[in-house]
Amino acid sequence: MFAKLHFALLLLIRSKKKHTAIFVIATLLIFILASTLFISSSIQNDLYKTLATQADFTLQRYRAGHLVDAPVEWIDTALEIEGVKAATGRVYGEHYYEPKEQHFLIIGIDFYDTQMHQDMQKLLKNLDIEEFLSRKNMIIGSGVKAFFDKYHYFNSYTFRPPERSKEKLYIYDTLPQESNLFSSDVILMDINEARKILGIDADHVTDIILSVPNESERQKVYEKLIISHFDTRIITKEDIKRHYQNLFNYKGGLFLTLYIVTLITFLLLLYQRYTMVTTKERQEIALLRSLGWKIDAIIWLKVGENGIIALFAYLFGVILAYIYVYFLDAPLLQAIFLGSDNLRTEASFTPYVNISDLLLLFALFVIPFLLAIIIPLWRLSIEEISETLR
Amino acid sequence: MIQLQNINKRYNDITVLKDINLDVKKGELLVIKGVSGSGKSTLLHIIASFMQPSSGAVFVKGENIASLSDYHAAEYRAHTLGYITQNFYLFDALNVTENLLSATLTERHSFAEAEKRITEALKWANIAHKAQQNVATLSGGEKQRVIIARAIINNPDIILCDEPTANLDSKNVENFLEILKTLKAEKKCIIIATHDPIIESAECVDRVLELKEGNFV
Repeated sequence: MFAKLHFALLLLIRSKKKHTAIFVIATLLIFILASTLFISSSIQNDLYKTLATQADFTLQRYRAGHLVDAPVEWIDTALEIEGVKAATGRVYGEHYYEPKEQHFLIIGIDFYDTQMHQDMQKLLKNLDIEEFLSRKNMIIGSGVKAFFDKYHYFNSYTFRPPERSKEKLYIYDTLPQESNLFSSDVILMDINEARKILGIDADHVTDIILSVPNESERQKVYEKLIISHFDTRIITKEDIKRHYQNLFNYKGGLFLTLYIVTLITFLLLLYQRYTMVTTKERQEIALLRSLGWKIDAIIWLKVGENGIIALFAYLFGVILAYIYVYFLDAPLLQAIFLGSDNLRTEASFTPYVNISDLLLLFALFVIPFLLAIIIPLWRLSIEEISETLR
Repeated sequence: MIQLQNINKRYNDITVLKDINLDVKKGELLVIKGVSGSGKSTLLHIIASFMQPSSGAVFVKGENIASLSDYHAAEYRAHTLGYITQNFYLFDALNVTENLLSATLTERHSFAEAEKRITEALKWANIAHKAQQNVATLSGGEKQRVIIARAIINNPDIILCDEPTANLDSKNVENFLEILKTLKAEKKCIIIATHDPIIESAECVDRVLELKEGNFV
């Protein structure tokens, strides 16, 4: 057994050139699929972590099909509904940096609100709120940080509110890596600063988030919210989760379809290659049979030989994909998954490896790979020896 | 040792061998001569179970090898047969020792045992000094020695040689004859298909048969 494996290795090592093309293509295919899997797993993992801290309901005001600011009185109305434990107004909006056509998401935080306070403490463990509020500060996502650094806004950035004034805010901190994918373009600041910069009235908020801890009360709360105001739209945590899942599944699915088409093409080529096997290889098989090798032993030898290629291609592909996604932040592929129109391209992926995905990938690659080789080789092995050895 | 009974071989409408009957004893060195296309190689291939006859039986040590399954035919080739070809069928990518290893793997030898057999076979065929050399870089005579070493490595009772001197110069033909003498002294049953007159007339040859149009004349 080991002697035959040793012989398979010898044949493999001494005939490197013959196998190089197959090894390179196989590695490339595994690399692409493993990269896709790593990116999807990382995004999903980040998404679930982020969603865990999201509010149960988000209340928005719509007028003529457009999102408009909601009056703060709505917060009190919401709090009157049984089951609603907390209701907080949020102020946020996009800031457009025209020279480079970049969008940032400004989020105003009411640091004196207990829930907000706790959420911020979760996000930034060492945040000293008093110190933060002692001057006009902001906390920025990693994408914003990279952008600011690139254009030399190392310590501060000046916003231009609609009333033509100037608001200079200092960079206090950068958001942590774990929340990266969903906070790369985020700028967090005091709610009053955000109102000024975004031009939102003091008695209005962008939307209202509600906490309904008892799951069984959520449907009832949802119905009451619908009838409380006729110009509202209610977004549940599940809606947000579904939206992101659909988005990433759609992109991942599209990519996987392309991969499967490529894999099938590769396997067909492989099958073709072994069907149209060269005279030399035909002679090798006939020679082994003439020496007394049994057909199953020859097939096992070839399985060993090609299994080593498949295994190494798999390992190389997965390692390269890990480096590409988690160390190099998956250039090109990142744009497919996250979009390339804004700062999200600056995002980096949090390492997350799903072992079952890797095992599935192994099974989906190695087994068809070996089958594509074994079938034509078996047909070749049962030919009469005298057909080849003349 | 070998008994051929009414062997016929046809390829479509062409009859290559017609009612061949032959007995070869242990320790006998038989030469089958004939022009190209006379059926010499086909006869050897049938004895080696590389192909099956269209009809007839081939008894080796009392067993009809013409009706063996693939599995048992492989066992027969591994244990009983050594085959020397005119074309140097070797693994070109491997060295001499590794080529011989391919023949030892049909047995359940340990690495140490395989190594011992390889060393002995290389010494016997006088090619031990090239043990680590890639076979692609060897001369025709050296390649022939590697093939001979490989053929005898499992100590077979039968040695079949198909035009063994076709690609050798006169010096290497002489060397080959020396090897034949040694094999004969070891009581091997040897059948050589050739049209080389030097082999036919060699002292060690016991019998010469001529194959013409598919039958012995």
